[in-house]
Amino acid sequence: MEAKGYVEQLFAKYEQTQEIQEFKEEITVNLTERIEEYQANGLDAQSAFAKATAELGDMSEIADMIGMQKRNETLGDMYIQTKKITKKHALGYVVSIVLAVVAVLGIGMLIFGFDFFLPLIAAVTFGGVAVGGFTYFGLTQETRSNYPMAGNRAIWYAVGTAMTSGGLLFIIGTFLQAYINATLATTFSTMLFTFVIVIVPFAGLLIFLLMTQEKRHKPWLAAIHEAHKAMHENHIVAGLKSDADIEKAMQFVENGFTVAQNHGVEVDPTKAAKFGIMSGALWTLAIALFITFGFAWSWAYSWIIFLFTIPVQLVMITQIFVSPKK
Amino acid sequence: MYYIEVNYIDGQCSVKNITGKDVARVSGKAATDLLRGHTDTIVLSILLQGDNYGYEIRKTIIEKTHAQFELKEATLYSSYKRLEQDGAIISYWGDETKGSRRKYYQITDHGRAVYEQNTRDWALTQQILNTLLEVQ
Repeated sequence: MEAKGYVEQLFAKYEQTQEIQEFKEEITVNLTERIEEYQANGLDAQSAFAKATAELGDMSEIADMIGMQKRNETLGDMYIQTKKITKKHALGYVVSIVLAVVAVLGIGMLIFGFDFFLPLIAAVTFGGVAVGGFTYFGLTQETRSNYPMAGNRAIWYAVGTAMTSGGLLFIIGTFLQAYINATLATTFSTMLFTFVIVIVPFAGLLIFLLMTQEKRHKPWLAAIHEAHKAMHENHIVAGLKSDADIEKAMQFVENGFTVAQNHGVEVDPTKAAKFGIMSGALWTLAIALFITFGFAWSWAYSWIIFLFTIPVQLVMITQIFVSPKK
Repeated sequence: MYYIEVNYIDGQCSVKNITGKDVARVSGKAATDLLRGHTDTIVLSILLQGDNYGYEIRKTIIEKTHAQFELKEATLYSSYKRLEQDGAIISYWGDETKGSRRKYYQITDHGRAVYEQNTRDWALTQQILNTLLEVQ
């Protein structure tokens, strides 16, 4: 339809937002009805079209207003709007704090020589869960600069931090108890056992998560980082104190820039998934062998098997990297 | 008898007599702002009679003023946007088939209040100017 085509080209250079598309529809319908009216009054199709489009006038001002308006609103929303903490998050933080307090009390009781078993259990579990809670709710929190992390991924982070901190608390607690009771020698193997079987794999999990983490920056922050990086590559940042320097930097940004390709290490997602499964298999096997040797032979030495699993785990980690394309 | 032609491309505003000859020419932002303000009130006055859409609104203005007041569509569209932004009117789609649906506008209570205020202001302005300028 002639009218539709005409209106389309009027707005061709603008971002086709919902608002603009609806506006185009409104204009087209009104234009069409005018053309039909003039044709009904005796004008031929050509003249009717010419007259109707002439009556439209200069639409560029309005187009600029709507087009620009949309962009400004979105940017403003992302930067200025302060996100309040949701009820779920507030509750999560409060519960985690309470658990942390209990854990601290447990540690305190240990230090002052009260019972051993109960305070230790309390410290380890409550402390571990508290750390996990802070991790989960902190990561899934939307801030002005960052988008929240996906819930499922955040749970893995939480598991990782909960187990490693729980393990650490266990080791600390056991150490304190042994120190007070002067039984350090015998508890050494317990501590090493915990370290190897709990802390190492979950620390490995956290390292993996961190390496495969994508940035969650909001567009405005990502844009600032990009500009910074580009300026750095072009040696503009140095001495950004004088007005002339700042002018130069702004000029650089306005002229547009491309950021150089990242030559850092990349992770292959398929391999990373395989890594996760193989790690699980590795540690399950190690634990099984540990128990078997413990019963069949001696508990004092069966833990040595874990000294073998650590290098195997590290080698597996290296397998998931992809060399950067040249 | 005069009629006013508003040209937004170069910000010119001309007063023409019935034969189409330029009698007076006013330019500058103040003049166009003044008339733009009146466009809003005119749109509101039409919507007071009932909900309406772009094509009909413009047609009504032309018919009522016996083709003395010919507004460019662009002028009207910016008026609709402005009024909607200020909350004086709301819009909704008609139930015609998609692709040919009309955008209808409806005056709000705030719009009615704005209309009342504007007409009062205009009446006062008119009174003052009439006594000062001895208009025939």
